[in-house]
Amino acid sequence: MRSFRTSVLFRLLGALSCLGLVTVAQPPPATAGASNLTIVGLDNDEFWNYDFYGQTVDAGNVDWAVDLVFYNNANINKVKNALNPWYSQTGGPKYEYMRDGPIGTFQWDQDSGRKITGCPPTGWFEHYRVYADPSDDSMYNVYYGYYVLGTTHFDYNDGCSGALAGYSETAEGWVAQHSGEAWGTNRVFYSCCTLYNSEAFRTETAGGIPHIWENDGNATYVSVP
Amino acid sequence: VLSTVGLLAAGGVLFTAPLGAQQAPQLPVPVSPVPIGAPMAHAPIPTLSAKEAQAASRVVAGNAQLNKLVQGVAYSVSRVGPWTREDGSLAGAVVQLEFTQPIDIENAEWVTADFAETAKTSPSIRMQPLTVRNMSAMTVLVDLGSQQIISETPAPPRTTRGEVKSAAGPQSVELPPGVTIPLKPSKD
Repeated sequence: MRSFRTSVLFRLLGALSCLGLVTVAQPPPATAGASNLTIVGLDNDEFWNYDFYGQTVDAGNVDWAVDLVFYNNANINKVKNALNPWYSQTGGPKYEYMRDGPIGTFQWDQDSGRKITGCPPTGWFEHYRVYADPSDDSMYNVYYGYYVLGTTHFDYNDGCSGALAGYSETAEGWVAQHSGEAWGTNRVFYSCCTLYNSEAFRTETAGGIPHIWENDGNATYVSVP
Repeated sequence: VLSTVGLLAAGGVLFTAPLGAQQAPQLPVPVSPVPIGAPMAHAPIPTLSAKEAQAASRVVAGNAQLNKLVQGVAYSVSRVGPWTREDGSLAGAVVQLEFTQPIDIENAEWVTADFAETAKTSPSIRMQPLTVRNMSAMTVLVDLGSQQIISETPAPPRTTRGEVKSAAGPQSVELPPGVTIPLKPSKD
């Protein structure tokens, strides 16, 4: 069924590519810091529980905690297309590092995500990013089926002065609500499953923008039909 | 009466919920993954002492400009946390205020901070006119050194997780007519 995914040649190419990326990139200065950065795994898949500002795994180089899992029959484009009525604009790139399956090696995926809008207009607007094995834009295991990982946050005045970012837990609720409107509320499990990445309420100035942390450590899972 | 209701239901006349909702399958709750190894070490993140948290709340409560901005509507301090600089050192506190009722603020001046990307530079503070409607919470940054508020913003609106939202309607933040805001390249 997923024979192309298990091609040893493909995995080897992915591993070589991955190694090149890891060694070249350096973290930019003044990135945010995670309280609980760790690898989590299930059925031979593994992923870091935060996304990263650049392609370096470091607790001082994170962007936001992973707080969304779209599973069952999900891939990147399917999720973005379904949520496009609410989130049609793109943002800037961030990165997640993950390993899909028993044969796969850790690979970086980059996503700029989707958001409502930048500034102007003023105000808070949600922004989510979704990540998966870049070879086919989905992860797979027997528990989740085809799945992708996501982070969320709000941007305030993004593109204007006085910008802030954060409130992931609140943004998670909005993306979850819109997911329910897209696929049915019975497919949304709000903050159901721990990813061990809780963050207390705090503000960290990072890259010239206050980064307002809040995360309960539990991701919302959405079963994509 | 019960038999009449039963007959109506049997005839397909009486519905208490949309058909789609009745037919929606109950899905099993997904399982969580497991952590692999210990969390990666990071430089200690500063915390606020109880005294510092109380001091931040006092700065907010005693600030005449903020009290005028919120028009005397009652609020509670729902959360207080540390605010750190680019180098990780403690600068002050982030304070979240929850209002007893959503409030509208027409064309008022909000304390706004623009941060430089260096640890050694203090943010520049200016006043930004905004019109905000249906605000139920507010985020305030307090400099504990100078005992001053350096940033006021409405907090983002919360979802009620699929339930009917408050009759107050959605929160909006707008520039009053004729007011501009300086542009700055997006970082996100």
